[in-house]
Amino acid sequence: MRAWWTTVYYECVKYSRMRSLLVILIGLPLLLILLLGSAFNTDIKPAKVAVFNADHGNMRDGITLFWEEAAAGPYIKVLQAKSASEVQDWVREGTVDYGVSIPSDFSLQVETGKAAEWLTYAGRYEEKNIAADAVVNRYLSTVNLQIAAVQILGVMNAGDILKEPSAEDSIVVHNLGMGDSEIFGETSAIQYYSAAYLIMFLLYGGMAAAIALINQRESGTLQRMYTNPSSFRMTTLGVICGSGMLAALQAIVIVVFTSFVYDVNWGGQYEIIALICFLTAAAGIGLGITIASFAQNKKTTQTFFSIIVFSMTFLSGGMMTGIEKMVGGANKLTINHWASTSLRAVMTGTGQTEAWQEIGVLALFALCLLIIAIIRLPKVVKPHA
Amino acid sequence: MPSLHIAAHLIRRTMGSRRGLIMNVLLPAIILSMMGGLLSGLLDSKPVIVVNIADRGSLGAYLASTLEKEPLYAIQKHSNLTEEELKALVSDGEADAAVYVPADFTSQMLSGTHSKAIVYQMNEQLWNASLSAMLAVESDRLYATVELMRGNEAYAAEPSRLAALLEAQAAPTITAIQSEMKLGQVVSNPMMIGLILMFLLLLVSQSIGFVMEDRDTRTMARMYTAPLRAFDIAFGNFMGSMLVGTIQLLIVLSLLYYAFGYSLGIPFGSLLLVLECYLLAAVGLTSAIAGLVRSSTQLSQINNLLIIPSCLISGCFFPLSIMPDFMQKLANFTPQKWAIQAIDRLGGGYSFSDIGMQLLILLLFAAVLITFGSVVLRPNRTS
Repeated sequence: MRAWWTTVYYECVKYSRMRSLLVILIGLPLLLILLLGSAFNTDIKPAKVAVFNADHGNMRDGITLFWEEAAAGPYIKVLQAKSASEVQDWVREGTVDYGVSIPSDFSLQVETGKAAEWLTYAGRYEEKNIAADAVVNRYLSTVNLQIAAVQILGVMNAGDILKEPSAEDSIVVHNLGMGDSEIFGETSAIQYYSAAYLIMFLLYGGMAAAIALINQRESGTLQRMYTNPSSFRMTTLGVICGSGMLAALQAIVIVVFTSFVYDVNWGGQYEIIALICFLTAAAGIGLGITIASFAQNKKTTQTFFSIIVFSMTFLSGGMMTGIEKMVGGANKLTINHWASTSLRAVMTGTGQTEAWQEIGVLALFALCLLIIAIIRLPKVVKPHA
Repeated sequence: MPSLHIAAHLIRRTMGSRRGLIMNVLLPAIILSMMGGLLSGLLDSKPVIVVNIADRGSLGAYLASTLEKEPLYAIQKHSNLTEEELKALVSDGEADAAVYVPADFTSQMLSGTHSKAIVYQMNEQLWNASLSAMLAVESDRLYATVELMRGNEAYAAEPSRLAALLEAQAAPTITAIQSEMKLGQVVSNPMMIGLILMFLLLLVSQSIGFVMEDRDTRTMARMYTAPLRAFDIAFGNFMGSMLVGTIQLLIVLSLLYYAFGYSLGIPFGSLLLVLECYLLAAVGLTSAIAGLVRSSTQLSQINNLLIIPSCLISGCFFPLSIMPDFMQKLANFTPQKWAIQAIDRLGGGYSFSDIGMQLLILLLFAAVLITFGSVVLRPNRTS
């Protein structure tokens, strides 16, 4: 037991001195969570529309007023351009999503009953183009109705009738889903990525155990442990538990930091979160030792482990959401899938039984990997195995 | 030419071994081709909208024709489904949205109430908000037309007048003319190019790491005892890093162009030229970072911290425009953003004279950063 304690203690001291390792295992996930969480926050991004109104006729004020009203809604943001070519430049650069240019003789043409047009420049994003098209159409159909009324009915004041009703008034929209977003389910973007990257970097932390064992074997210190009059198993277990401590530190720092600094809601059931983190770290350690037993040296272990963890994160949707639907169920073979879905279930506090089922599958993964790791462990620690 | 020897050794160290060949040449090629396959699958998914115009009058058809004009949506008409069945299709995920026009749509309108079409969707997103906005405009137009008729007592009794009024609007006097913008697809769909940019940066940082290793092990100090000018050494090292990147670029691009047929509509040579400018900036960037740290292990760790986040904010993996404004401004300080913009313009059919500014910025990055980064080559700075 003493041997175990001593090893764990020295492992912890060792990790605490590897500052750059700590920065990568703890700092990098925090940075990625911040970047991805704020890039994909689920607020609907309004379509930015550049408007250049060259018209100096009677309709100019009406048009200006119209765009002001349109900009008050949630889907359109209006930017005034200084010339028609600036509108085009902005659309090309991607500064705006859509451009409208109103020619200088617009009022004149309409008043003399000739055909008149607005020039529109559609941007890169279809759905934003449609939103902007709808706004343009609202104005054009108003004016067209007035003209048609004059032609057919001979009335002049048709414009009074057409008001500016908002979209909610004219059609009824029912939202059937629970959450705010299709891609992230019921969690917000930052919750989604907090879970995904906590899991990914916990798995990475699991590699530390395998690397520590290989390092000790390669530098010959492990062989000397055999000469000690204490249980060799306890020493090995100590090295492994040391990396478990590192994982615990990672989990605590990431969860505490994200909940206080990024305002991530972890759902309050910290004992379940701790259990999920424990199982993930255990699975990571098991995976690390299994790979090390086949790879035999440090560089190959690192490479293979990174590739496997990276692909598992990718397949489970940790980098691009929605990818899990396109890989034909391969996501269900990853540790990340079960760990992050159960974490997300804990965050939203829904589906307790499902969460426990997912935790069960995760535990099964961890158990299998640990059993393989225990069987293969001699290959890693025995100097001449 | 002593610089050539230095460059050749650098290439051998990066991709001369089996591991180097797998990690630096084969792996990027495999991942990129996989991404190419996945992304082409992503592109053809249109939102499916099920529509039932149950309206017994004539006005409902106008709503349907508005929808059909829009190529973004895949419209499926089901005239026999009830409102509940449409709703079920959406909640089961078989359709992305449902539009139901009630049976009394026209008669309600004629009696003076603004009757409403019903839209079912899972949750609000821009594409379905646009759908609703489009329907709302059309339905407002119909309502206003009918109201105009009703307000005019002389004509209120004549249904043919309403038809004439609607007919007159079908050929509008005032129209919006859509101008062709020649936009590329790279800015809005940057994953493929973004990954190439990231791999190049990783590779270059590795070869600069080898230069750092020379300094750590004092090999560089010995190189300076040789009858060489300092310029030869510097030129050899930077040229080596450039060549490493160029070799990988040629392999990856050839695979993409000739094996997978993914070309973005840009000629091979033009894309290569833009990426070479980017490569120069990347060499500058990594050598500048290398100048700030003390050892090659530290460099690889710092690189992990800088490369992936800088690729994220520069729009390598998702379009810049979805990010908050401050992140978009930050992106101006990354070479990746300018490379993506230049490639996007080329893809949109612009010529080299139109991307002069972007290339100039990349070369400026390179000039400033390489000057800053030549400090890596000072042999006496070790940990």
